[in-house]
Amino acid sequence: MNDDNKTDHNDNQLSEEDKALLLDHNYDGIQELDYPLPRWWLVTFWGAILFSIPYFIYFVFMNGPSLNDSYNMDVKEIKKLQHNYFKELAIFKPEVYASISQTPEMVDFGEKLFVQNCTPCHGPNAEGYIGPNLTDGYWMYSEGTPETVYPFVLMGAPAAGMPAWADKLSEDEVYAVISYVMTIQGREQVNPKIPQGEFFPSERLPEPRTLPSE
Amino acid sequence: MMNEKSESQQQHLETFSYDDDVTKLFVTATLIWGAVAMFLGVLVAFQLADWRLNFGIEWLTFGRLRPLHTNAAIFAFAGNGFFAGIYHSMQRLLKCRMFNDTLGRIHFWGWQLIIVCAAITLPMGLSRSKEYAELEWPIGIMITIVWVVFAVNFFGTLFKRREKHIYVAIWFYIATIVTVAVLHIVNSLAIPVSWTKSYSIYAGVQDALVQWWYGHNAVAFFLTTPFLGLMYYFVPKAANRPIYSYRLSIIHFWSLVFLYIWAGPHHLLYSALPEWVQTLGVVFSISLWAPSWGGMINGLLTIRGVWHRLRTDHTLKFLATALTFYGMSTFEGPLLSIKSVNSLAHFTSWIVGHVHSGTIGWNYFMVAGIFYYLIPYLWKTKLYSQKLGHLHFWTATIGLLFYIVSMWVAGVTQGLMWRAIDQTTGMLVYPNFVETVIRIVPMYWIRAFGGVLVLTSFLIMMYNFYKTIQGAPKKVKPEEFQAPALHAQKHEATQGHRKLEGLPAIFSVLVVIAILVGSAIEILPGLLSNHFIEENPDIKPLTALEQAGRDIYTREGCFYCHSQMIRPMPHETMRYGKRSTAAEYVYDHPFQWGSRRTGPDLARIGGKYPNMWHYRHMIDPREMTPGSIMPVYDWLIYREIDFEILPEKLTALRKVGVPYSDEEIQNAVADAKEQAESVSYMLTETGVDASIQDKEIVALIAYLQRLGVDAGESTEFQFTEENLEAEE
Ligand code: HEC
Repeated sequence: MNDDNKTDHNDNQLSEEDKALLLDHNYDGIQELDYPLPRWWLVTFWGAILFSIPYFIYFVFMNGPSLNDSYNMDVKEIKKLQHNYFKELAIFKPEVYASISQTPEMVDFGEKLFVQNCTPCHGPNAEGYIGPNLTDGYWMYSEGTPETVYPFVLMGAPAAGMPAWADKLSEDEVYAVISYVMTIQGREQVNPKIPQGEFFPSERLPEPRTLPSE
Repeated sequence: MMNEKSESQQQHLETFSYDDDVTKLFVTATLIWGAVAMFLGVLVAFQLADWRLNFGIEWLTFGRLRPLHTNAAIFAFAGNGFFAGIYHSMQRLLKCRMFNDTLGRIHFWGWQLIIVCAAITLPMGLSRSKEYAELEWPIGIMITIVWVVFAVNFFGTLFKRREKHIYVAIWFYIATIVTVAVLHIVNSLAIPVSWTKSYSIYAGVQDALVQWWYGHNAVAFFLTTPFLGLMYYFVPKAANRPIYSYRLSIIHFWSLVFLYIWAGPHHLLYSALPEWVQTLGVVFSISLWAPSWGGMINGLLTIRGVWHRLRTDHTLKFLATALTFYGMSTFEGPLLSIKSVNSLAHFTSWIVGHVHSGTIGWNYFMVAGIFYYLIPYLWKTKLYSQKLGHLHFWTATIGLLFYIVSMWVAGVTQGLMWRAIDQTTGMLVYPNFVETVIRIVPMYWIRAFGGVLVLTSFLIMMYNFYKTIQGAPKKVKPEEFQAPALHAQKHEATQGHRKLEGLPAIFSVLVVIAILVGSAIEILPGLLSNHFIEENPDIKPLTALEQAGRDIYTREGCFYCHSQMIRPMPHETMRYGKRSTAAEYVYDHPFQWGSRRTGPDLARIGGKYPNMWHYRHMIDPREMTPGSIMPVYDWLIYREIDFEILPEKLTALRKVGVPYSDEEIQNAVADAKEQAESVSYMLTETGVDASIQDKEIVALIAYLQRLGVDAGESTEFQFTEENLEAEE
């Protein structure tokens, strides 16, 4: 059209095929070829659209499985597994407890688990903090014996703030952490929490050291 | 057509020059904001690797800087970048100076003012807490005004043009301008409480739908279409070759514009959004693959024949690489929209890697390529150093690869850990969320390192351009051009799409129709009726104190790290509690579903821990959860709750549909104080000073303890005696 606009495409860069497909428009020196659309591109383009229509119809109008349906199916499978596991887990096994509580490495492991999971609520020395003191012989939900503490640790008391640990610790880990807690009964505390619950004597702590509140 | 009009040329030739100064302004701003955006990105990346790197300063915490980083990258860097390219290319493509130089200056300075306002308000925590639409309503209005100024200038230029037919680049610019206006206005609608606080008029599911219609199409029409337009100008310029296929331009333009607008719900798969909308999002995302690649192949095949110049020509090299990354991300996008892939990748770092292969690989590289052409051209000089150009390219590319690969590994690792279920016990293998965090921290370091390389590459480029401009001749006479006015030109009759290209007004209307169809079908049913949201009478509005807590939650940007959306997957319901439903969110203005689980989901955190746990956790997360990367929020124990504003807040919320009674509004202050006392009772019992009562942390705890409570407890997976017997 005028001179600011003249095509300076180096002719060597245009193949014969290019030249045949060159359109006459020129925008600031830019021209356009008019190659047909690549076949593979057309296939993906129409393929995706053709896939989409029946897919949409199936899921939206023909009762294809909803998210809830698939969810419920998956849950069924998992609950079967869990059920068996829980049933097994729920039984306190004195012999397993005995072997773990008599293995010093396992008790040390229990201490580690305690520090990781329990001290945030029960205090760094188990002296009580958000949750109760675990060393003074006073118990609210159990009788302070491994068999009675065990189910409580598994199920917790969510309303009172104690989580259930069945889904967070393995069976051995629960035994290990209880073994550790049993070894610290009667620990001397600098700043213990006020006793909560009822006193249950144990080997290490036959008599209460502190008196309950009220 | 070209040689036949010597007569008319001589008679009606007009002389004009281009407004290149406005382009230069935008170029300069792009370089400055680009460095700021990337620096912020690097800072927040390091904060995830080491929580201490906010230096204990509230304005620098992750939740406040993350939106500043994204806004700076999108609106300040990419925005100024494409404005520069549009002002340069459209004048030349239309053979016409901009409609009005002053409007161009208002556009420029207005936009910079908006960015400065963002840089001040976001660190202060003034945020609407909707991603990429965080800026509070007065700034939102400024954006609208400046955008209209730009639009007037743009369409005015189209009107004055001396080139009958509009080139494909201009089509993309039109799509950008009209669609961004629609998106911004619809998503920004809110009722103000004060100059610095407002509530979205949409709630819950509706807010989510509108937000991700906006968010997804901000990617489409702010980060994609303008850059495709620029690609159509600068690639043939740099390659010195004609565009490969005019036909492909037409098909991929219209299919892109029509299809893109529907794909937003792929951000909400498995959420409480009605399933038919999710399915629409899936199919349209998959259908978008080919149209997106249409742009890539039209660009790459234009370069075909001059590949050898890639080695020496920085513009071509960056543009070709940008197109390749564009192709990669637009393949990854549809892939991530497939439900099963999404179930693994959503909420993980994979998505973060995906967006950066787009914003760095496509937008940054496009801007770089364009500027290697534009800066020497505008300043009438030569690039200062070719060598630095190469260094720039390789630093950026390698940095980006570190980024993408580390985020991919982190995302897949964490996604697999979340869903791992022991096949003998049926229990989660990693019940402690923090284990999955600790595992990917090394990847956070590698990502941050990649980010440092990308930032370094940017600084190298800035230096190179600075020296280039410094060495440029100081005074250059603006070049003059001549062309006949449009009405003085003779035009052959054209048909089909060519004809349409001569009618930009009709063209623009068709674009508007194309984007409104999808928007209307997808969004209006959700907005106009509550038919899609099952009701649940147990769900009640928050109390005044809880609402105050929620406003702290949004201010601190907790939702950048925490989701509030439990997806229907066994591993999620085992970990977090029962699946979230739409009914639970009907009073959530704005919704807080989140998009990335750097920390665990909080939809049902209420009642999970005692108040004291939260108190300690907010002051020092690591005391409660060793290995946590959550920031410290200790200012919450010093800052006082703003009780006095609560009646106004509740009134504003009532305007958007939360059923507060007159009484509740009148008694808001007293009620809130009373609740604050009872929340802090538990704290003061265990030794916290009584003055905590009127501090923000109490409101936040009240809010957290309410989350998920109304929906009731789920015992589906609990180890209870009932469950043990029920299965028999
Ligand atoms: C940088 C990301 C990040 C930000 C921002 C963040 N968090 Fe967290 N948050 C985490 C991580 C990681 C965890 C998991 C480890 C832990 O318990 O500290 C977490 C855990 C939590 C938990 C415990 C959840 C549970 O189920 O155990 C709560 C509650 C919480 N955050 C609240 C908040 C609140 C409120 C805010 C805003 C004031 C916030 N977070 C901001 C990363 C973050």
